[in-house]
Amino acid sequence: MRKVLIVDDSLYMRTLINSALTSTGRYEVIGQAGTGSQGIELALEHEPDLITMDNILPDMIGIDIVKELRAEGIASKIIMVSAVGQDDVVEEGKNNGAQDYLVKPFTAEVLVERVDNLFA
Amino acid sequence: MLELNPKEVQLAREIISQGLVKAAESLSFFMNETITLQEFDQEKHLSSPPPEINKKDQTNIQLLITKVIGELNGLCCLIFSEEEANQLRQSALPPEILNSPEMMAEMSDGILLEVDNIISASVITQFSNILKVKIHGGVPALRKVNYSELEEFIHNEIVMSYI
Repeated sequence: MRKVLIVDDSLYMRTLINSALTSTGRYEVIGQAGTGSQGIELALEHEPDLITMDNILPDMIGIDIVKELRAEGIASKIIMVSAVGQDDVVEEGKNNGAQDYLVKPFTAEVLVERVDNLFA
Repeated sequence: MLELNPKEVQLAREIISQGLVKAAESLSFFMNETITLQEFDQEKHLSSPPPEINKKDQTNIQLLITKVIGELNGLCCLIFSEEEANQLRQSALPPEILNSPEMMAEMSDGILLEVDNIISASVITQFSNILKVKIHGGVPALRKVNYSELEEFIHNEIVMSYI
């Protein structure tokens, strides 16, 4: 089972993502973070297979967190999950270490499909 | 006050309309129904509370605020009556949350904040892509206000700041 870390300041989104992924039986959520600093701490501690990363967090920008994790040698697959959908931001996310960028809102089915594709 | 010529006004209206179409699409996703738009009227829609919130004794109006950050500054606001907010919660939250008093206590405000986050971002993204400027929405905030407080907010934060 793939281990997942969810980083999002919205309790609603963390619950939605958790439910969508764990209900497949293929993913186990090993941590949830509501801030960037908490997300970095949990990522370094657990080195999950997958990190879902919001882009606007109270203390940090998601893309900066991705850069920091890559600089630390974290090899987790990262899918950015954000309401920020500007073309240049999506491109920046992918150019700096995220494997995919999913713009909110989305259904649980779309999220699972995009995550499954990362491990295909 | 910023003065725009008629061509600039027309262009601004078109850009705002495109942004509002995106906002309606996002809200439709949560409400599971088609959301339609009224024609944007700056004087009517930016200078006083929405006409739908028409009772001066209304309380518990849900005012959601997202600041626009970056090369342009601004403010995105979503205003729901208590009844509208409850309708949104009923539509957007799954049954397992609606049926759990503990989870509802945690999620009740959270769902509104996330809806605001997504709707504001869909509008801001549209503006950013059209105008080629680097802007994004900040972390949303929720205030529960009465009618007078809403009037005061609109006057101080919108009419005096941007018009």
